[in-house]
Amino acid sequence: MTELYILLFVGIFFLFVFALEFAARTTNPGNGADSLAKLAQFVPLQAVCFAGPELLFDDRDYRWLQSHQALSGTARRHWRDRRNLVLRWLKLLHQDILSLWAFRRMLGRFGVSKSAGEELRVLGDILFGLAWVYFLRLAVLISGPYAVIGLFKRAHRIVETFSHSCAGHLGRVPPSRWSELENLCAARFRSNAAY
Amino acid sequence: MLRLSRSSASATLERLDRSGTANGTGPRLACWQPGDRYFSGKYAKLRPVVVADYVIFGLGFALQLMLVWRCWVTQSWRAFPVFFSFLLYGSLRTPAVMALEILRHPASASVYWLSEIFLFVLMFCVGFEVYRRVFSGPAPLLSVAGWLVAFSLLGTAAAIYFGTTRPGTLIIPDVLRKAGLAIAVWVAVMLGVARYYAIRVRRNVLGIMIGVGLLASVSVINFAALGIATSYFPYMRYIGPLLFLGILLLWTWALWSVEPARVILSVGSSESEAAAFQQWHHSWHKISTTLRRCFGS
Repeated sequence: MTELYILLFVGIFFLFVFALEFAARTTNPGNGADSLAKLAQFVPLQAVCFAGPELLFDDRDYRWLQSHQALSGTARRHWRDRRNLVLRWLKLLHQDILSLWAFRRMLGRFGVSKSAGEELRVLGDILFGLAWVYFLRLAVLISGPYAVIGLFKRAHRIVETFSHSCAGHLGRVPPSRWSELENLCAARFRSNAAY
Repeated sequence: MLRLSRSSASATLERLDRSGTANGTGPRLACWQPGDRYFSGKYAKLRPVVVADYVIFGLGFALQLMLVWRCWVTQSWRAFPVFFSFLLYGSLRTPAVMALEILRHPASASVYWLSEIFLFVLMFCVGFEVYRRVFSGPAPLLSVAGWLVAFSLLGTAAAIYFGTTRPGTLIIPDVLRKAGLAIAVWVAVMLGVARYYAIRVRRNVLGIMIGVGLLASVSVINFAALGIATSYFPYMRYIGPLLFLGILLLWTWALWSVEPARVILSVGSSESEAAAFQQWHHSWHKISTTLRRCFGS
């Protein structure tokens, strides 16, 4: 009986989907006569064209302002303004990714992609990019631009420290076992690359 | 065609049920439970073919004939031979099934269900014809669409196979509602891929595609509702045919004049294609570099 109820709701769902699709396609059929050259011109990358985006995350001004007790109010305002700027820039970056996605779909329509696998890989990359920018926007909104960049720097430092410590341990491996270790590493990273 | 003889099929269902192999434990051919309250008591008066059924039948038959005539006049039957066969078959089937039912012929039930199965087979063929029309462009696009359609159909088949079917389920309505689900999924995936790649589907193909999708959805709703409770029958005997009349109107609108299946875009030269592809890669690389520059170190 559950199966029948599921089928009933699925049927109603599809009925609405098709009705809405019909309404959408008849009211806005879209322009099918565009050419690639035109399309290429219509992909504006506003966030990428922004010169020196890394300066947005530079916290030296903020730290300098905060170090003076009298300027703490200005420091707070500066933090808020910078956070808004970063959020606006990330929003533009988000729009850039969406524009590139639309452009890529257009290319797919022209038969540029080689296979279904490549299409899926590109789709995965784009979705990952979008999710990453969403996460960054959320993190900046909650904790501000400097904390986020500090977090990334700390994470980078942890990885670096760990890497150095591994290198230090490597020195203790006897030279006779180097080839065995090399083989093990090669096998491990080959299998990782397969994923 | 599909729904118009639904009301008349109720009596044939009952007759088949009486002559069937029902023992209440396993799946049966195509009938409701014996002694069902729909066929007795207060619902008994709803069983005969009433004036409303004749009106719906008349309207539907007229619309089907008009569609066949338009397809013939505009020569669109050459562009959509399977869909034209589907229409022609429906136009012949509806009065045949109706006549058998009015005459209370003993073979009416079997004729109804066998013709319904054949109609679903034709619907699958129409789906394939539409698929070939929408994705008739470059080979990679056809391959992507083919893989997606194959995966979605396999997924639907797996869901149907692993789904539970309670004892006593009627085989033919069960098969038909699942076939309807498969067609609806197929059409939805085609529409989704066309939307993803911003393919502009022209009126003829769009109308056929949406109509087949709607028809499949109505079948799923109809057979699922009647499987849940036969008390839905008084509503479904009018909802189904009226929705089908709407689908016929949609097809009439879509096939009134001939339009090409889809706009084949002028790709230009292979150099411009390669340049656009390069530009995409360059832009995507710039985005990743920017992100890495800001957050990577």
